[in-house]
Amino acid sequence: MSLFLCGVSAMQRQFDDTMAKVPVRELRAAYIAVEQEREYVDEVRVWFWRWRPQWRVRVEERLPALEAAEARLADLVAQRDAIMAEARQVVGIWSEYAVEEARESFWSSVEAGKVRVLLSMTCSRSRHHFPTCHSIQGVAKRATFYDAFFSMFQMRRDESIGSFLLGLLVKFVFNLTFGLLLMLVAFLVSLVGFIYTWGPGVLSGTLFFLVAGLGATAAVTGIIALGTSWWSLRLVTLDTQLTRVT
Amino acid sequence: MTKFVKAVQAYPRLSSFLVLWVLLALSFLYAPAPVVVTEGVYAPCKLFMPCTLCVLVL
Repeated sequence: MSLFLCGVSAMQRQFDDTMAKVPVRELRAAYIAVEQEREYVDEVRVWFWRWRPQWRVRVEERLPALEAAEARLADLVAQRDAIMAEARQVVGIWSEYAVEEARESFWSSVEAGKVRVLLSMTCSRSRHHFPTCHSIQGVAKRATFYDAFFSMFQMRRDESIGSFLLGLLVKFVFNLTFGLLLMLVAFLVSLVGFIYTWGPGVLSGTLFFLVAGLGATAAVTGIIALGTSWWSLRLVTLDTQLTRVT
Repeated sequence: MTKFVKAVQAYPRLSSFLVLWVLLALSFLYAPAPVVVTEGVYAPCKLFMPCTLCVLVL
């Protein structure tokens, strides 16, 4: 037991030491430098600058500095990613760091509605450029808005506003379920990239994918089941109230 | 309550599957990781998540 704890403590120390090598200050300075250089170039990027020689010359004068700053930033990002990959391989994919990161990714996809699709495929090059981010509620709300818009033209003359609203609510629940399932698929896709960045073996990686994928599926189906039953109760109550009013 | 017990008795396999499914979801969300790196963290059920999966598969 003490041997195991010593090993764990050494592992943590090695992880912390490796992570301490990340050039945080240099990275921040490089980010600021790139922003400043970009602003400096944008000052002379006026309308149709390519076809106006005096402005084109000015842009071309300022561009090399921006390119140099971007190259410096790219180098530092690559350096940081390499250090992080090294640190991750020290603790492994079954460590609490990996599990916590997977959970954060899952919650961010469910709660904030942001799914980092194909995370690792892009994060090895640039972590600050995440591809498409969708919102579950955004998906559901947008879909419901379009449904509401088009159903206005399909509304029958004898249909009451109550039944129309109920139909809309049912559609919203359906869209929310659809949005959650869509986010689950996106999470599973991002999980493959996530596992790749931690560099486990084939067996360990496959097992982690099975565990995390099935766990996420179980959690999402649980949320859908709970949500659907809650909304069904609300609908029944609303229907009863509307029937009483009419 | 009686209805619930009757339902469990009528569908024992489905009930156990549902219980394990919920356990799997909870363990994915809250159980400690199998390898605890941070010092001073006591994880008595750190293999909970993989074990639940194995039971579910079996």
